[in-house]
Amino acid sequence: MPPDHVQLFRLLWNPDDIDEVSGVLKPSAFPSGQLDGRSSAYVSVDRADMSRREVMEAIAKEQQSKADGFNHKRFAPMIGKMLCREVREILLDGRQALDVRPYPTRATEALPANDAHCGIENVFGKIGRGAVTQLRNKLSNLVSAPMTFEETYGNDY
Amino acid sequence: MTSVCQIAPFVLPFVLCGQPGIAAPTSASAEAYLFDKVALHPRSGPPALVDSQSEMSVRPLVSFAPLAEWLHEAAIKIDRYADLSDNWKGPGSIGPSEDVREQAKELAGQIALEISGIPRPIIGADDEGAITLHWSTPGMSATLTAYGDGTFSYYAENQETSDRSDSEAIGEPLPMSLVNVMAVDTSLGSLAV
Repeated sequence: MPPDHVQLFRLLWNPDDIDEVSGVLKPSAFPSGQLDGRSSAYVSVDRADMSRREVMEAIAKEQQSKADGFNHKRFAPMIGKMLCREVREILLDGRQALDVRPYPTRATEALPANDAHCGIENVFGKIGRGAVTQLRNKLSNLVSAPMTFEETYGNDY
Repeated sequence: MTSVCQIAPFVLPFVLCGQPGIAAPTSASAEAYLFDKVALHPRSGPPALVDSQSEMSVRPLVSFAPLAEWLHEAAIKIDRYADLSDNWKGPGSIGPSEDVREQAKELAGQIALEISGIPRPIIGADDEGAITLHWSTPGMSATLTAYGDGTFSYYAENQETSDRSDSEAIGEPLPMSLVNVMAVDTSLGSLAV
């Protein structure tokens, strides 16, 4: 389990996930199907202390290539940060709602192996639309102002 | 279906028509819309003004100019989501349908009408075709999700309390518990302004 003090990186897209005017993260950046407790789906994040820029860039490139919306292209990948502890402290009706668990991935043709990969999981159980909206609200408020890859990893790449 | 934003220019005169000496708008379509969507619903919240001629209940509102301004911007932003077709965010993602877009605009209009001084929302589309309206101020945070089935869910909190619902009808008066949470901090402005 990633310790509480570990920072997490979430790959975001500007402007799909980020308000152009304020830079505030939109709750819609977190898919409801990954939070509602009705499947084993989870919100993908990377441990900051193990994250590598080349892996994140490969993930961004793959996401960009898979998006295929009419008259719409995913534009600028960015990184949002949050603390493990703060994710675990989100409560639903007085109970812990989310946990962060490690899900390292093996290399594929498109992506390198990623030991930093983790999932933000619903540990509460099946929840309704209002509770999903609550979790998205809480998560979006947790994430610090999204940064570019250069700002996140530095320029020594 | 006529949206609140399409009739935004009529909102100000209509609201003011509850005040003595101010005439109602002349547009029959705007009147019909507002009679149906805004004015004639029974309300359980703060006391309404009563127009002595029509005996129509009208809620007191302030800050009309900023309200109309962000409503127009919100409508434009939501309309642009027509460009998001299925798979826009990756395989399996769904673009917001016309129903979702129209209902999100109507919901934004309801918020603007019923919570005076509320700043503009942060608007987003999710991968399941829903649209979120989000407010984040130093003392209040709220997220509303419109699904296109005529309903929305919400979560709202301020420094004293919070409120949540799985399903509320768009077009009906907002729940007073939601209004009470969201209205607490409108004077502080939104991070999005």
